[in-house]
Amino acid sequence: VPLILRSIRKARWYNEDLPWLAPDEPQADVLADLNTSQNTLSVWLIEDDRSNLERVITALAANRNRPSNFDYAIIDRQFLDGIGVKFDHEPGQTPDRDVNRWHLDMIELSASGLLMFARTLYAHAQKERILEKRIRHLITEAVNSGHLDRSELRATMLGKLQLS
Amino acid sequence: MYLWGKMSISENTLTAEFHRLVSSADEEVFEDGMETAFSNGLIAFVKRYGDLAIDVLAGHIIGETINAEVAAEVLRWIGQMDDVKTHHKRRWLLERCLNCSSARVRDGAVLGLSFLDDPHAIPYLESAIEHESIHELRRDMEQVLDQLRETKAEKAL
Repeated sequence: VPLILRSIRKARWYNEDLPWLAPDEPQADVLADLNTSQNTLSVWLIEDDRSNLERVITALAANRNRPSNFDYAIIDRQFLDGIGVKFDHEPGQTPDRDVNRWHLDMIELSASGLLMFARTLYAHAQKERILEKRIRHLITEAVNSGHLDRSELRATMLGKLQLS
Repeated sequence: MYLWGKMSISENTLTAEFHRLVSSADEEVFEDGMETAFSNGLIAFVKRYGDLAIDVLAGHIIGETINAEVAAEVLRWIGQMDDVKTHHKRRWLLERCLNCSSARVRDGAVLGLSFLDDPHAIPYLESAIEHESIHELRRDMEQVLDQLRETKAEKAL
């Protein structure tokens, strides 16, 4: 079963013991990681053997202003099929052209649909973090191998990686 | 009063400047790897006032007078910024905040230490891991601990 990846900030998804929060309920701030536009939400398709995972992460991390940690949630697609999520293949916009074909939009999202997605991610997704030091290495390698188009990286990113 | 170079500056002045900075954060959406007016202002504040600025940040973060999201953002950026003069003081604040009551603040401290990549923090992280109750955060701490141990080993070569 393929997987779906969404970039997040892990700390918003911690299962923190807060007196006002019901058990197994995510904090409202998780919604800050699920900003929609035109009722769509951008996600990435990961092969079931995760063979493209590192490449997708590298492309997304390279799209930023500077190297940083990369936090993400990854979930079996079948959980999302179970809550009626619809997908549309829309090419992504990263400096890696091959990665862009793994981009999906979740479409026709209602407010309650988005909340259901948040709850599903909270309950079933793995939340992972790649540290900045590793991200620096991955981006540098991808530029050198030609996977990343250097001309599409921001000047600040190239400067921080001493690639300019 | 603080001594700032040859001039003196009141704690109130520094605090007022920091409060203006925090107010500006209300409009911001923080994303990893992206600067904001808040992060740029914070770096300028620390570079201008040096260790005095870190004292002000410490008072507000440890005293929990600013919200946890902003406190965590401060800790990420003080780990990430380049400023040799304040390195020790910034590292001290990050190590100290591993014991803060808010998980988000502890996470900000962990990330700040990962950016700083200074093995001095190893015993502080070891201790924080022992006491950490949130499984995911403990894993994130262990990952940073591994990185710092590798850095230490590389430096020893």
